[in-house]
Amino acid sequence: MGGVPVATECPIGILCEDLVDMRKLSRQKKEALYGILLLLPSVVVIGATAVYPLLKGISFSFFKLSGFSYDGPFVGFANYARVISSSLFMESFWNNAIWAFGTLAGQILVGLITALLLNRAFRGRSVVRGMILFPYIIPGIIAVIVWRWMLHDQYGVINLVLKRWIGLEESIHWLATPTLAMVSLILVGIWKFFPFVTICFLARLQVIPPKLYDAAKVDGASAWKEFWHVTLPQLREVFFVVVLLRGIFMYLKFDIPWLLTAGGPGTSTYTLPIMSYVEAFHQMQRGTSAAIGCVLFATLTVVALVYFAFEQEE
Amino acid sequence: MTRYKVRKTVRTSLLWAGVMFFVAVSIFPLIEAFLSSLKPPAQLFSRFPHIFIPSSVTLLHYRELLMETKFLTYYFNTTFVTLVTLALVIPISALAAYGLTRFAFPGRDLYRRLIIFTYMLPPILLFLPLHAVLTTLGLVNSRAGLVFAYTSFCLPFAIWLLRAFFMGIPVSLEEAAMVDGATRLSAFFRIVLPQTVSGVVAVSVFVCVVCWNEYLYALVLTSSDQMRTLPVGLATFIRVYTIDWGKVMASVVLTSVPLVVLYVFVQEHLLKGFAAGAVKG
Repeated sequence: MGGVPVATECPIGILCEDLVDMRKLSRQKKEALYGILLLLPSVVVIGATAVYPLLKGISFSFFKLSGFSYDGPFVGFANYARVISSSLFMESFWNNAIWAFGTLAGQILVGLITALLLNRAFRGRSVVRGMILFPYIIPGIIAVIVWRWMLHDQYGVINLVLKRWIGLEESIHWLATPTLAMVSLILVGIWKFFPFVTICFLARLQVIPPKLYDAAKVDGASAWKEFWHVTLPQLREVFFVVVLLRGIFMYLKFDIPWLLTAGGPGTSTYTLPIMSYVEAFHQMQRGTSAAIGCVLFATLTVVALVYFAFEQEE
Repeated sequence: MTRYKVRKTVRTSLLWAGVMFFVAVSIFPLIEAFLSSLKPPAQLFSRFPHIFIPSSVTLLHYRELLMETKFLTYYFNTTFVTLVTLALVIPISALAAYGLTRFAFPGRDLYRRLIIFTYMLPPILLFLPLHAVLTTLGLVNSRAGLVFAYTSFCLPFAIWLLRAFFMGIPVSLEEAAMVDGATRLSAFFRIVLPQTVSGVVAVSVFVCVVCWNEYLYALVLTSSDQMRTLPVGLATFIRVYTIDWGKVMASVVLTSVPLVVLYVFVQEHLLKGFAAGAVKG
């Protein structure tokens, strides 16, 4: 860390070195103190609003909390045993995996294609980039409302277009049929979050050294070979980060699944975040809800550790 | 035409077709919402003769939305909570980001990791304990309680982004100022802060967007209609048996307007934020 150069106008050589050392030491201490003071407000606030509640949440998972109270008897791992043995948990786990994997794969595919398109020079590129980013910045509830309107059995444009222009006989009940509900949910998830992947890939594409492509051209590589051997390897790191972070964020997503299908029809789109919320505020089993939260938290911790290890390597 | 020219024309048209397709996919749902909000009820449900274009325009749904629902209350609550959180988060995060990038002290790397980690925590892991903490403090169903909850994810997020911006400013500038006799603090305010204006703007925009859009905390931490925010209020509009689609579409339009305006003006800043690692959500 830089700082003010230490003055060394000391007449006696040996003494001077000692003096410089002492001043250096005290300066280092002063620097450290300064740094810690600057961080103090954030330490207090993050401690109170995030770290303390997190620890409290973990402790809740070992107590039997029913009704509105946050006091109850200690029950050890009973909440975990109850959660993991319930069939709803396993079903939610698989739905969750399908939702997270489906939206992640879709986002990466659409994100990659759009990033490659936007990496070409054309007029109005920044306007196009702005419009493509739009789904990402609107609230989840807006995304859900507009899609529920478009997927509506009777009045939705999707059914109307299929009927009037393609000759479909019966309306498709998108959100009331188990498999289609999951498909619709995943499509809405992709629509909402792909722009983020676009921006990540685009940022990386724009700093690929042009000389790599020149070399490929000299070798007479086709466009496909160029993409496969030059572009794709350059995207490896950003690809890894996107898979990690988007994957875990999709896995822990609550608002879109809850607002679009609320886990239904039946339990066909029930996910772990939905289960955690319903246990806490509908079933009034807050210990169980906390146990589900801890299972999700463990998943996040594993991902974070992988991310840190990866970051270290960079 | 030569073969080369043909290939080039084909490539350009393919590029444009691809670009147009994805633009349509991205913005069509919102255009559809806007057009629907202007249609008289009969057209909304029969959709004849055109599927998309309204054949006559009405502001009926907007009037109903503003007169018959608590929409403006939701609007006020959301704006209030967003701005207060922003005012709280920006100074604290600026100090912390400066401390993290300019000073060496034990535990710095650990703290940096704690920041990333808390920043990754989604609401689904904290909604229950935050509800417990705010119940103890008597802040459930209040705007102050929402500010408390929103700070939990906005602060680590803001520190993380600002840190990236501060790292981009050469330390030598401050050193020069301090050699000229400026104190650390005045060097920070006079030299560093003006350099990071665009960083602070980018972070502010992100903080505003995530607060404006937040749903789960607002859902569990508010219980009366008087305290609801836009996302929770809008969700109640579609949780009824017969949904008033016209009114709902008007609410979609009015909720998106500030985001669109903000977005058009600060798009460049927003992209800088992405470049600095804004991945929340």
